[in-house]
Amino acid sequence: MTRALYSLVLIALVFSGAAAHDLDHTLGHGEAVVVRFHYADGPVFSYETYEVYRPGETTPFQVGRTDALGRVAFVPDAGGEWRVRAFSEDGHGADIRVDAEASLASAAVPRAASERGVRVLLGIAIILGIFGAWSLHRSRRKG
Amino acid sequence: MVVVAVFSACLVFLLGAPAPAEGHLLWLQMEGSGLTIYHGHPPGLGLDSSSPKEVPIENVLRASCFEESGNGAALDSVGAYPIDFGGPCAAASALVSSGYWTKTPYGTKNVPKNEAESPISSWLSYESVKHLATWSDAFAAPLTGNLEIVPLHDPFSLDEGDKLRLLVTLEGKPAAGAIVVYDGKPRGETDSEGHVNVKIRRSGLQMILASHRTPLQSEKADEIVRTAVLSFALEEKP
Repeated sequence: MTRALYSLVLIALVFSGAAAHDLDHTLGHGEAVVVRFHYADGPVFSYETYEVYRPGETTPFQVGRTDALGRVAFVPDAGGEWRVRAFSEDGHGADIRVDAEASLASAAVPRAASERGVRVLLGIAIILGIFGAWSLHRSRRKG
Repeated sequence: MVVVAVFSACLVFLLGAPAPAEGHLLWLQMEGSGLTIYHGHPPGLGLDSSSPKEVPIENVLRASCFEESGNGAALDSVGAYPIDFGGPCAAASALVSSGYWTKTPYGTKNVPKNEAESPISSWLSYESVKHLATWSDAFAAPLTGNLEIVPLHDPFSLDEGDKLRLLVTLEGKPAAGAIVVYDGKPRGETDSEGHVNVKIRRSGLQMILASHRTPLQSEKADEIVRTAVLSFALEEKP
């Protein structure tokens, strides 16, 4: 009985320890700033080191490597001028400033374009609806 | 690889805003009869020029100094900066190589392709630079066998807005398909006769770059990437 109790305590301790080291995650949607780096003659600046800094800070907010298309994507948690550095071992690089608010505001442009598309479709649907009603009314009068 | 400055705005979602990668501009500094080769950002281009670095002397394959006649002295091995030619140069040039480079998912490494982990692309790098201190008709022809940008007329007589006709050569012959960059932007590609025009946009130090790629059948690299810089200074005119 005592042995069984010890075993249960041991199992509980092992599992509580494992739980403490579990890495949970949450999924969410956010607006990201995407900067694409490339050479002036075309090739993308892919797989190179980058650092992203909050406005006025010297410790990077994010570090990593540009993706296969030479892009850096980050989700700002504050407005202001963010700094993005990207550099390679062979001496190439760029050190740029990104206005997070202006960048995120510019995201409205594609949305506005899609809203315009919806309005056009709605307009066509209304015209077709009126034409259909008129045709129905006309066919009834003939009958 | 061609290098440039300047950044344009950024954008959101999956549309990335392009930001040219800069840095690694080569330039020659002549002081008396001595010549030093730097990389970084030269003064006078409005970029951060606080930390120019000397090109490692072991990477210098050749340095040349030319008189107005086009005759020159070339040094194939140089031991230290400044490289002394014993007198001023009307034009000077240098050829530099940092060897083999390989792009991998873990960055670009200074090793041949066959020594890299997960190689994506690789190249052998040659960079040449030429500075004109003055004009001479002899400079309207290639002075070296390097990838070279040759002005076909006197660039010092030009004003803002004027066009400069250029010839890009490799081993003294026209190099077609070379991409020419000026003030951080691609300005054109050389035609089958190696020609391209560039519009001068400002006074001060002018740096025109050209890049040219040649496929290579080798286990060490996929291609040879050559870049050339032509520099000269235009005085501000009232």
